[in-house]
Amino acid sequence: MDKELIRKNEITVEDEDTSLFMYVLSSIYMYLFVVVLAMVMAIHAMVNNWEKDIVGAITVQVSPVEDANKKIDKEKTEQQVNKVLQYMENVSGVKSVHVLDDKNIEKLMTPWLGTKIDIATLPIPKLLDVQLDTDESLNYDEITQGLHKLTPNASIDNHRLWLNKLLKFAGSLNTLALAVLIMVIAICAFSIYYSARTSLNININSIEILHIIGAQDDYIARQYARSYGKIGFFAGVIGLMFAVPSIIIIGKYGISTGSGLLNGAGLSPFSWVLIMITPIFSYFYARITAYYTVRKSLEKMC
Amino acid sequence: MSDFATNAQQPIIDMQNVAVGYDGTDVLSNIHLSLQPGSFSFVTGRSGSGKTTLLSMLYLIKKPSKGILNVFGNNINFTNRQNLALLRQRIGVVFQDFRLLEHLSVYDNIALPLRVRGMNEKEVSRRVMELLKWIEMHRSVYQLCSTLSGGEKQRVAIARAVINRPDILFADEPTGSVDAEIAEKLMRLFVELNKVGTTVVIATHNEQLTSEYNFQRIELSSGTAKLYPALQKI
Ligand SMILES: Nc1ncnc2c1ncn2[C@@H]1O[C@H](COP(=O)(O)OP(=O)(O)OP(=O)(O)O)[C@@H](O)[C@H]1O
Ligand SMILES: [Mg+2]
Repeated sequence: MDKELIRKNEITVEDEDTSLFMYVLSSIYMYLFVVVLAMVMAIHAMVNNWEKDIVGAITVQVSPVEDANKKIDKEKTEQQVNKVLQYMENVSGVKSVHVLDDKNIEKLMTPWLGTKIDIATLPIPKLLDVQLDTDESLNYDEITQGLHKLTPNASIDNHRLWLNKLLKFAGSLNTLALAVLIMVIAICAFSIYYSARTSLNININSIEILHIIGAQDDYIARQYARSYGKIGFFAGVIGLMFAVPSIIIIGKYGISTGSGLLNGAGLSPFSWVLIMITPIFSYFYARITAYYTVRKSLEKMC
Repeated sequence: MSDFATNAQQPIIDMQNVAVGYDGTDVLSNIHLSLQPGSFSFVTGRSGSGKTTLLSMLYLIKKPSKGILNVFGNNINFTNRQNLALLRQRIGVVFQDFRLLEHLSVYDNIALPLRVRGMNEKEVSRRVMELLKWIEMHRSVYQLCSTLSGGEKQRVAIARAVINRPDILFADEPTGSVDAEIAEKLMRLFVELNKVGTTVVIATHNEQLTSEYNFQRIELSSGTAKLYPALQKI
């Protein structure tokens, strides 16, 4: 068939004045979407990595109790250790607790202290090894508070506590990022909705002609779906083109800060595939949103 | 769908106590009328009497505000959007102001009724090209409608109205903006279409036309419509 006979849409949103605005705006949204999506996936990977570190076991230490003469009160210390032991055994998610005996501690200490010192006379904390059920996560805040009530001398191993706080922070960051994603998706739906409705009003004459000729709402809605699908795909590609370098730069910068924390933040190949197919997602998203906007609007309009 | 055509007794359009108007005020009311398939009718009346209003109800863009309107045996009040569209596909309309899609080519405008029916492009092309030759526009296939002369636009509008071989053809003031010679040609075309079975309804205030062609008349006056049969030949 002749090239000129290739059919044209009766209604072409792409040719309208507002369409440049749509192209630019949706490209920016898609950029934002892709970057935040990458962030969500990176945080997820990082959190998974940390969690691997954390699960398994924690250590609780009990500082020795000193009497008025700054001498260690062995008996009191023993009592406190037992209290802590009992408390920890009853925390849900704890498999077993045992006190590292002084011999073990001695072994750990000899390289520094030598063998001649009676370890019992030194203010060395007692250590409790707490084995955890791997599939249950502990409420560290509650444990810290519980221990504190028992004795101010007991505390959970700092490093893990700190990691746990970081995990919580990562969790809120992730929630925030997800909220941004949902917001971008919602804003895009609103943009499509209002621009499609505006276009329907602009094209009311053509639409009436199409209706008189016997076009179904589906026929008109499909034309809008085609136009918006095009815009959606274009915006997805442009957004991606700018987003990928951004993601790589942010990733490099994050890792070069040297903190081991970000080591787990790399994006998996699956994540990259997800990022690369966002234009396909935006294509279908724009199509479907435009289609149903037009169907519903036409039913109300005429 | 065309089971209707086999029943010659049944009117193609039937109105019982129909009223139609805008925003709650009726322009026409108390209409009792029916048109037989294969009939040829003029709709006459002074400017503002409601010819366009009546036609737009009959080509199913306006709903009656009252009464029962049957088109092709379907009560329009109980016909859903989808089926209304299907009924409209059996109706051809020529507007006084053509109402072409100006940003599209001659070809795309004429192809429109076939495309909305989902016809494949090969068959569309065959039919459009055939019709373009017939209206002597085959040299302007790709020309945009916005660049056509008034007479060319009218030919395209008519081609678009007849391409899907409608059961009913409505024309609103088709001779309003053309000279007598073209008006004459146009009328001959409508008569030809009527001879092959198309029901034709033409709204006009051209008295020369209505007296020259002896067809039944729907006269609009004092807010209602009355049918006057064609005069018997002496
Ligand atoms: N969209 C509208 N909204 C409100 N009133 C309308 C509308 N269109 C037409 N009318 C009114 O309805 C009446 C009938 O108008 P209509 O266009 O049907 O007359 P007509 O017989 O076709 O006139 P003409 O011969 O000038 O074309 C007029 O009084 C007109 O003002
Ligand atoms: Mg009129």
